[in-house]
Amino acid sequence: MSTRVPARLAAAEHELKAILAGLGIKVPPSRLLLPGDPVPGSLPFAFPVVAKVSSPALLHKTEAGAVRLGIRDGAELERVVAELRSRFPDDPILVEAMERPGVEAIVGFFRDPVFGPCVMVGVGGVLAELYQDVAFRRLPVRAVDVEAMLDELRGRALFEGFRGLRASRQALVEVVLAASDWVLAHADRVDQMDLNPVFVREHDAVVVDAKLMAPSQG
Amino acid sequence: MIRSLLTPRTVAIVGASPNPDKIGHIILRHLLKGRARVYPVHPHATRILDQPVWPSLDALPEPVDMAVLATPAATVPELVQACVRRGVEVVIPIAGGFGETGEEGRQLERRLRAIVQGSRTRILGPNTLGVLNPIYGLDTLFLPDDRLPRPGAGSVALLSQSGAVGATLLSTAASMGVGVSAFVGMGNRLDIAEAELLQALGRPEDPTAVIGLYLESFADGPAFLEAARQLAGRKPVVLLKAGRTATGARAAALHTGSMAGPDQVVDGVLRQYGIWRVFDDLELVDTCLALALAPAPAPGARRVAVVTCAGGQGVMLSDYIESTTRGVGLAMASFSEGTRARLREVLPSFASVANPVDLTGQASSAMYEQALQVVLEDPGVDAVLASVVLQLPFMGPEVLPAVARQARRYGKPVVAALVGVKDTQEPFRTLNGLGVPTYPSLWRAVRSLAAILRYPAVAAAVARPADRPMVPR
Repeated sequence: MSTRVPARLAAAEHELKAILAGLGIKVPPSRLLLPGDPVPGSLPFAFPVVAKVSSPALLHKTEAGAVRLGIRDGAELERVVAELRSRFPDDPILVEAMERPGVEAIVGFFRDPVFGPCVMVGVGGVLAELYQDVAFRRLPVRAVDVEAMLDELRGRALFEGFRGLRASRQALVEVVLAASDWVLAHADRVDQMDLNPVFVREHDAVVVDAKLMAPSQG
Repeated sequence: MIRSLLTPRTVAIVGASPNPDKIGHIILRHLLKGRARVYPVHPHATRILDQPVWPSLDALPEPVDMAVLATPAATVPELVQACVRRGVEVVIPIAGGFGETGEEGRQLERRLRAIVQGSRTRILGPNTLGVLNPIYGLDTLFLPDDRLPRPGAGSVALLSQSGAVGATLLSTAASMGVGVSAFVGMGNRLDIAEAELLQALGRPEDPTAVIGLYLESFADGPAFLEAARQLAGRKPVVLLKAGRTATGARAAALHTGSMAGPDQVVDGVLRQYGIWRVFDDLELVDTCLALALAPAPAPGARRVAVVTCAGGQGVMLSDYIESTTRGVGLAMASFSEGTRARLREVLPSFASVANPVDLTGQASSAMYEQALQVVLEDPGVDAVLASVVLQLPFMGPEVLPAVARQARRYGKPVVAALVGVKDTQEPFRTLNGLGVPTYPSLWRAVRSLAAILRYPAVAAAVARPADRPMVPR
């Protein structure tokens, strides 16, 4: 249904996540390895970890084979980094903690041709496009607007505690509000932004993957 | 602008014609029934419909507030120029052949825009059905009034981008006895568009209580939203937004882009700004009628009592009220023991005293009024769906004012349904005129009652400018 247009991200993942962290949004603890940096003997977070090539040229990292999940120890990390560098010699590699999963949400931003900057919130993860369970508002939004969006979802129960799943609706609302304010303040530089998935857990919400597209002109 | 658009003291009709089949004749005839002083303009004719005729806009003896142009598109730029020269405030080019036809037409529109730029002259249309104000007495519509019945005066304003849909709304309103405060066919919206009209109709002194719109696109999305936000809770805005399946041009590089279909975005944004969205022309008129007439419900009101005279109606109405899939998802009220006891005194021994109340074929006007009063008195009842079966032998037309009397007395929303009645106009006009929204279908009555009960929450969730601390940093 959707046409994938050739496009370039406005920021590498580690740069965007640094911005998000600066907004008070939780992202996984990480260590960035620039080309030539040795793989550190120890990390400030525990294994298993994830290694990803972090480049604005890589729109779909998983499809490009630029993501390795579940790395169990230092030796495996050493091997993975070497392998990634053999194919992406000029890009940094982002090593991140594997986050404990939660209910997966998607938080998206885009510019509507009629209404201007808008936000989307819904059921996220790899099946987001299959379910299409999302709600929309125009920026700015207030907490009550985000609450209303969550109420509109068919899967709203996911964010209210469903069959033993515990998810902090409040934490998700705070992610949406913080990111919304940033997008609105930088509206001329944001065409689309995906925070997907956001793991919404019992007491917090963490942005596991994030992508930012700049407007194609200018 | 708005005074000259809706209540002009003087109107010129350019292209007035002695030929009764020409729109210049039809419009003149309608204008002459209204309150404005009318100046027919025609290059040669001397008298049309017994009126003196003027050879040009420049020849008119006084400046006019409004000029209706019933001439072809090619003549419009020169006439608009004359309007600017004579200080005409609103000019309405009726003709098609502008932006809707292609590049040449768009060029013509750019010329018109340039001509009025910096002047006091405003353009409605072009390519428009025109303006109707039954309260003041103004009718510039080119559809003959013996073919398109005009609604009477009331408090529903209707704005339409399409002339044909506008005509449908007007004839629906007329047949149901829905009173209209203003109708504006916006046509190509070269200049005057929905946001400005919303602001004008939203002024407290304007007799409009509800504004219904048919739009295929937004002339200026943010301006429209802002205008609607100002009205939320005060004068409801009801929108039929067509063009839902038009494919969007959004680049789908990310998930968000591929999932943000234009209509889904519209849906969320309308809710955000307190705009009540409807999906067909009947629902538009029905909802405007409901929101214009019904009293505000109690906060959180959702318990509905049904009073009917037929078991089948009671079953269907209960489904429509309670079902969340093919209904509105409200609740059927449970009556108190006292209410049941009093109903037992009023009703035939074999009638049901639970909700839905079924008065049976024995129902009389007096019985109906008593039953309605008993359920309205029950504090567990927030609103009543009153289905009156006028065909029954003991039911007479006096039941209609009786329903309105009880509705007024308790101040709870009451919506009436009259289905299958012989006279398809008079009883509706009567009850609507008495302030009870009345429908010829059970489903439309329930759907309208749901709008009455739900609108306050929609309006309450709207951000007031004052409570928006978030500004771009």
